[in-house]
Order: sequence, then C-alpha cells, then structure tokens
Amino acid sequence: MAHDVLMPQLGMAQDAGLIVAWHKGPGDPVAADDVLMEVETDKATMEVPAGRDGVLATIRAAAGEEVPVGNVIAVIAADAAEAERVAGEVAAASANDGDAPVEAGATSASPAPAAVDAIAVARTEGATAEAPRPTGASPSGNGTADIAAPAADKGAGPTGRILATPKARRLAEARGIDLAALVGSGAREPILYRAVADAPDPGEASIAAPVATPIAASSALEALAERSAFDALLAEADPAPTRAAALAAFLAGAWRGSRGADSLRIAVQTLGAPPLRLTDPDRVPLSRLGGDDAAAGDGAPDISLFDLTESRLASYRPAASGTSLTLLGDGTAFRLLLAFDERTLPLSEAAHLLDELARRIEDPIRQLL
Amino acid sequence: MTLTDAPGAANAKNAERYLRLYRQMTKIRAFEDNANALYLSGKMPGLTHMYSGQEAVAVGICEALETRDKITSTHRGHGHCVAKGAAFKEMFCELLGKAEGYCRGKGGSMHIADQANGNLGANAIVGGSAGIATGAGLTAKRLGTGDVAVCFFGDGALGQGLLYEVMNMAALWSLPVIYACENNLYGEYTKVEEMAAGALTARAAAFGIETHTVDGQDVLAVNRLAESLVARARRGEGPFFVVLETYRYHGHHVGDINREYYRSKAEEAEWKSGRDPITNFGKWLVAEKIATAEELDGIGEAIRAEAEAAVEYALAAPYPGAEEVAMHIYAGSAHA
Amino acid sequence: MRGPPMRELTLSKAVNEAIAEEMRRDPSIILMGEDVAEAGTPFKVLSGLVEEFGPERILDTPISEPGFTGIAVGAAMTGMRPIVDLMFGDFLFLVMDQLCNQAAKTHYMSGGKLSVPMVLRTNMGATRRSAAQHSQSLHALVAHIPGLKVAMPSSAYEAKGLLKSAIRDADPVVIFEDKLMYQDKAPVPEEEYLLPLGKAEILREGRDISFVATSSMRQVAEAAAARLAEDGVSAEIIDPRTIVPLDEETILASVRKTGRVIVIDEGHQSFGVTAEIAARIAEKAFYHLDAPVGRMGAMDVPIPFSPALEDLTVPTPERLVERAMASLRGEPVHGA
Repeated sequence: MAHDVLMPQLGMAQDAGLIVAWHKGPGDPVAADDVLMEVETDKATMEVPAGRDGVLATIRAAAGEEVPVGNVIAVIAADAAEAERVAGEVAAASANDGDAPVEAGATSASPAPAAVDAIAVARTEGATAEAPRPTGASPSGNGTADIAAPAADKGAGPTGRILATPKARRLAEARGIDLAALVGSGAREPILYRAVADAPDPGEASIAAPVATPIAASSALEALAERSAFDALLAEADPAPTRAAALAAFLAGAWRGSRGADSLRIAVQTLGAPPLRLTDPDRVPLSRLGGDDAAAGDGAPDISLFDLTESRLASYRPAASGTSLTLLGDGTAFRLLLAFDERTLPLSEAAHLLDELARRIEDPIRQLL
Repeated sequence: MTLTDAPGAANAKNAERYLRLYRQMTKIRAFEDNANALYLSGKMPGLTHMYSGQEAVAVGICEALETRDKITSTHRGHGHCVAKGAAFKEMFCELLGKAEGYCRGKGGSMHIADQANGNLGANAIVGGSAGIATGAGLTAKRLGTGDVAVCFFGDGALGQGLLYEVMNMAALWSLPVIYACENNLYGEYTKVEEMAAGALTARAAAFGIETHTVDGQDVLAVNRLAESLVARARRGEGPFFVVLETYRYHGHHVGDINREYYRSKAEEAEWKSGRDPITNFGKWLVAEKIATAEELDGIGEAIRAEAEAAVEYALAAPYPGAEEVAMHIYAGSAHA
Repeated sequence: MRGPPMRELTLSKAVNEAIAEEMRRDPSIILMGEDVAEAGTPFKVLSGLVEEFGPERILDTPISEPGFTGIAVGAAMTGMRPIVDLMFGDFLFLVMDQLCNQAAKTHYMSGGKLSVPMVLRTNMGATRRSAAQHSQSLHALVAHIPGLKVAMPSSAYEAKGLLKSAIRDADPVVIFEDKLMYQDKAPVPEEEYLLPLGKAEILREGRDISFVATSSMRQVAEAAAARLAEDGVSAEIIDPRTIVPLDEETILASVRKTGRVIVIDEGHQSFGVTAEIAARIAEKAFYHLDAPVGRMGAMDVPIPFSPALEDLTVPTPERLVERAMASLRGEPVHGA
C-alpha cells in the first residue's frame, strides 16, 4: 500500500509548515529513518524522517511552499513497481484536468500545486507518454455509448459521486477502468464488482478513441445469402431455436471469426416476440439456445440484430450510431443490412464481418467448425 | 487510657509481640503522613483516603492472623496493607503508579493488593469486597485449609445489600469469616446515625451471627478479641461480626479540608489528644517497662526514616512501559 | 472431527455432561446458584449432579445473585473454580458490580498477581412468552467489559466443548445458553473434546454472501441459507462461538471471499454485537465489500409478552432471506 506523507505537526500552535528542502527525490528508495525533508515552522527548521521504508513515488509540494498541517506532501510506495503506478496516476490525472491527484476517499486536503507534475517519477520502461485515462465524458468504446445518457447526467446522487461498492472500486482502480465511463455505458449504480469484472479492458476502449476525422456517423453495407442450408440446419435442431436466436449465433460466430472477441453480447429483436439478449450464443448448441445458457445479464450489447424476415418490411435505417444488423427475407435468400460507425468499426472489418456471416448462412459448416 | 491487658501481663515473653504491635501502628502512621504529603504536594496522582487514627484496628486484627489468612480491604486501605505485612517501597511505588508497585502501578491507592501476604486487595466499591472475603472463607472450608478470611469494611458499607446477602450465606454455611466493621463515625461526609437505623450489631445478629463491639483505639483489646475469634473460626465456629469503634483523623479523602459542616474541630481534637492508639499504647509500654520513652522515640525515628527513603525511591522509580497497558487483561496473554 | 456414527444429545444434557466430566476431573470445581441441587434448575439442566457430587459441591444458594456471584469471585481468587448458575440472563443487571467491577478487573488491577478462574453460566433468548424481564439477550453488555470472556454456544456440541474450555480457563468466562435450545439435539461425540475459546467455525461454506450468526441465530442462518440455495445463492455461515475473544480473521476471510455479509445476533441491535462485528468488517475488509454490511438484531424494544408481538422482535429466516437478496441485488440500504 502506498503511504501518504503528511505535513507534520511540529509545534503546539503550528498550522502550516514551510518546506525548506527535499532530501530525497521521486524514485529514490527511502528507509524509515532517512531524512525526507526539512520543514520550517515558527519555532525552527527540523529534519523530518520518512517514517517508513519504501520508494518515494511522488512529491506534491515543492521546496519553498507552505503547506497546511495534515496535507499530503508526498507518497511513499512499497516498492518501485508501485511507485511507478502511483506516479503514472499522478501524471495521467494531471494531464487530464490539470488538477492535483485526488485519492479515493481524500477529504478536504487542498490540492497540491500543478508544479509537481514535473517531478513525478519517470517510468523506467520507456513508456513515458501516458495515454490519458478515460474520463467521465469519453465514449465507452464499442459503439454503444449512445444508448445511455451521458455520464455527466448519470453521475448519480446529489454529490455527483458515482456510487460503487468498495470492492468494485478496488477492481476498477486495479484494471484502470473509469467508473464514469461504465455508468455512461449503462451500468447501474451502485456499480457492483461483477459489472467491473465484466467490463472490457480499457485497452479495447482506446481502439475507439478518435484517431482521425470521423467519416460518417453511420455507414451501411448490404449482402445477400442463400438460406436453404441454414433453414435445413434449423429444422434438425431439437428443440429448434428461434430463427433470430440462431442468426444471432451465426452473427457471433462471424464476429469472433473475423475480428475476435472474448465475450459478445447481442441484442435480438423480431416482430411478434419479446426482445432477447444473448451472450456468446455461438458457444451454445443450437438446441439449447432457447434455455438460459446464453442468457445475458445486464450490460450494453456489442451489436443489435433485427430479424424482419417474416415481415412485409423492406428496409431499415437505424438512427443510432451503434452496430446493427437487419435481416430481410425474400423467400430463398436473406438480405443482410449492416449499419455501423466507422469510428468504432472500421470499414474493412465491417466488410469482413458481413461477408463472413453471409458465407456461414450459405454454408453452415463454417459455423459449426 | 483503657488498655485492657491486665497489669503484669507484659512479661518478657510477650515483650516482642507488644513492641511489634507498636511498630506496626507506627508504620501505618508514618506511611500515611508521607502519602498525605505526597498528595498535597502534587506528586501523587488520583485520590486517596487516609487511615490515620484507625491503626489499632488493622494491627490488632492482622497481628492475630497468619500470612496464609486472607483479608479484603477498602478504599481506606493503606493501613490494612501495612498491617498484613506489605513493604513501604512497593506500596509507595504503587501509590505513584510505578512499575515496581505491588500491582505494577495498575491499581493505585484504592486497589492495592498484596497476594503474597494474603491481602486480596483494596476495593473502591463500598462494601464491594464482602463477597470476595466470604468466597475466600468458602474456599478455606471446601479445601479444609483452616485459613480465616477477614472482611474489613466501614460503617458506610452497612448500606450495601451485598453485605447482608453474603453474611446470610456465611452463616448458613458456617464459613470462617470475620466481618470487621470499622465504625469511624462517618460514611463519607455523613454521620453514621443519619444513615444506619437501629443497632449496627443487630444486623448480623439477625442471621444468627455472633457479634462483638470493641474499642478500636485499644490495640490490645482488638488483638485479644481477634486472637480468640480467629482461633474459633479456624475450628469452624464462624462467622463473626465485630464493630470496632474508631475515628479517622483526616477527612473522607485528602483534600476534604473544610469539614466543619459534618464534624467539629473540637471533636477531632478530643480523639487525637485523648484517644490516639499509638500514643496511648506507647504510654502503656513505658508504664509496663517494656520500653523506655527514648526507645519508642527511636522506633518512630527509624520508621520515619525508612518511610522517607521509600518515598525517595518511589519518586525516582520508573513508570511501567507503554506495552503494559494491554497486559494482564486476561491471564497468560499479553493482549486483549 | 465429528466422526460417524455419533449419538445425539440435547443441549441441556451436553451442559450437564460437561460439568460432570469436569467436576470428576478437578475437585476444586464447585457449582452454585439458585435451585441447582435437587431441583436441577427450572430447565432441569443440572439434574443428577447433586446426587453424584453432593451438596458440598453443588451449592443451593439463597436468592441473592450479587451475593453468590461475589462469593464465587472470592473463591476463584483463592483456589477454587466456581461455576455460577444465573437462572436467567436478565438477572445479570443484579450482579453487574461483582461481575464487571470485581471479577473482570481483579487480574488487571493486581498487575496480574490475582486471577478469577470462574464461569458464569446464564441464558438468553426470546419467544418463550416470558416477557421483558425473562427474555433478554444481554451478552453485549458483558462483552463490553475488558477482562471477561463471552461464549455463545450454537448447539449441544458447542455447548459442551466451550463450557469445558471455560471451566479450565484462567479468566472469568460468561456463557450464554439459548434457553429455547435446551431441548434441541445435536451430534455430540462420546469421547472427550474441548472447543477453544476464540476460534470461530465455518458451519457452511458459500460463495455469494456470508452470514455471521451467534447462538440460536445459527438456526435462522441455516434456514435462510437453505432457502437461498434453492435460488442458486450460496451463503456461507460463520459461528463465532465466542464473541470475546472474537475470531476476527475467520470472519474477515469469509467476507473477503464473498464480498457481502450480514451479521445476525439476538441482542438488541443498537450498540450491540452486530454493530461491533459490522464495524470491524468495515474497518478491516472495506475494500472487499460489494454491498453495505448488513445486520439483524432484536428490535430495540423491551420484549413484549403477547406472542403476536414477541415474534416480531427477533430475526427470522424470512427476513434474513429478504435482506440477503437485497444485498445481492446491490440495493443500497443507506446513504444512496
């Protein structure tokens, strides 16, 4: 555990201390008895020991500053690795909003000056340019941010603090997951451990970060697929799943086959049946798709599937910028319409996905293998 | 002067016993004089209650006991502790909260205990030790040790129900317990007549307990009665109840200075000048030619010097280390 | 541990056996209380003991709770190992001075020189239609006092093993038996066994939520866990067995595993055992919590006589299931 070094109370009536000098710098190993800094009070200048063994991770008040008693002036980490992490957080938080790092649970300690940015310990592995951590306003990364209100509006509670359990917070911190982004992507408050555990790595989120000028809010691709082999497969399953569920399984298989994924949530809609949410339906035998095996919990879907094959409808243009697949039928073939946002699903990947899906429908052996 | 050993009883064989009575009473007085001075000079923390004036009670009874016999004591307990054989050094250390005190500084004036000498401890709850003394009597009877337990308490404790409950059981079970009621005429700041209806001895008599009343300023009378009751208690004839008429020279506690509202200075002067147990016993020793006045002065001087040396020692002695604060809560484990 | 096949005993008989075995082993053990001899107590827990050990060791006392508790303290200080039978837990209020000022503090106040190896057996538990002065569960009161140990057996097995350890312990131990469980049977080995004071038991392993349940609340927790299992919820049950000393580590380890916990105890909820355990969890396992710490105690009302009212005052499996489901759903109970 990282340890906060506080401005000590050195005199009876002292309410602040002037930091005269630091004897250690960020990254230095320190022993409990080592002199960490010199502090001047109304009485005298005193040498203050570190108080514990570890590695000085960050200094939050530079020499020459007067700091109220009790405020955090430095952080001592248990070891070099933790020191790097602490320093990394300092740098990231500072880069984001120019504010001093505020620990979870920090109270009214006044912010340390921004000047300390410069002395945060540098990473030794070379990865000095820290990517900004996602903040409350960032999209959640897989094209589903639009289905939820912006995080700022959801920042539940009169305090604006996001409600999350201590266990969930701990995991979020360990994984570098931004709770505000989770709320933004539809997670319910209080955020529980499971919601954080199920959230994608922030690395995946960075794919979504805008790297170029958006091409379009919603692009579209269309494909045709012979359906007889698919229909025959469906008829053999006992019990037979709904066509929409089976299509979802094929869609998941195509997604995983063309782009890879750990876990896939698919929102399924048809006319005349309640909406359905499935997780990894391609990993469940067709005959069990009707059961609970692929039932999804809460959480935003990666893709929406709209099965209109038994209807008189001829087209659908989604207004939202997520990824959605609409199926239309003309008797012997399915017409597949893929609507997607190129900022989250690049054109080449979308094309591969749709092509793969059409091939699987025409030749289900590709799916079953 | 009402000392009651018959003239001529003081033979050479008894001389040492008489001198020991004198020495023990003088030790209590010297201890209390020093404790009082320590307190008034701000060197002793807390609160303390002086036994001065009542020395003949503690010494008369405890000199009839053996080391293995048990006593329980009160908030006014320094006298009982000295009389049962405690040493000045450990006592002063305890009063000052020092590590070498009998209780390692954890008990202080009101809880001083000296297990090695059979003192099960002073008690800051008035009447609170009545059960403990009776329990010690039960142990003696169950194990057949022949030990006797003496429960010292003041007239104020007669207001406590516990005393009557345990005296009832002691009588039912014929326990070797002597209930020693030191009637020093005041319970805290109130006269005993205002607080206790009826005769004091009638309380115990109601349980069928044999009762006695004795002049608590006459160490020989107290000691002779105690010798007799202790011997009988050892034979299974207990329990007994004794009222010892005595007087406390100081207020209820050190610092109870302005006390005219409950007792007069004239009354105090009368007890101190006419009925002081040490002075009167000293005169008797001289009259019986057991000691000369000079020899008695010498005894007093030596004891006062011993007390002062113990005070100096205790003042310089170390306090217990902080690690002791969580020790002794439970047996065998240093921590709670 | 509990090797098959094992006989079943009532809690009442298990207590009786524990006392008899220990009294055969150690002649310094005596038992005292109201109607403990021929009557064998109103719950018939002690039937047969006086026939084996005689009235000298199974002492019928007058109805004087402070008196016989105080006598037990003194007897314990001087070499006996008394077991005090306090007929109803509600009578603890009568013996508070002897238990909390004397027994609990003697070892500490004497700097570790005196000890009080006594056991006070009493009971707890409502829904026996005994109204406000014979139904209380007052263990928290005693647990608040440093120097006392507090055991709360949750079945006949625990009752025997904990009582035997308590009798052999060097400190004063208060044991609360739930009077509604006296006739409840549980497997108890034929061969001798002791259960250590201060070691909790995991009665049921689980994954989703922890129940920390004392005494008969174990039965509430077990019933609730069975119902939750039907819904696929896996509850872990911890029986602390003694609340002083408290086996914090076992509780915290369970909470770290499940992330959710409800503490169930039959004492009044406010300022009680549930509060203490909940606070320790919040202090020491906060970052492992996935829901607020829940607690269920008796309502903060004097126990009413009417069955229609009394049954509302204690935790039930139904209410525990509700609370557990709320915890699992992540419903914020307070402060959301």
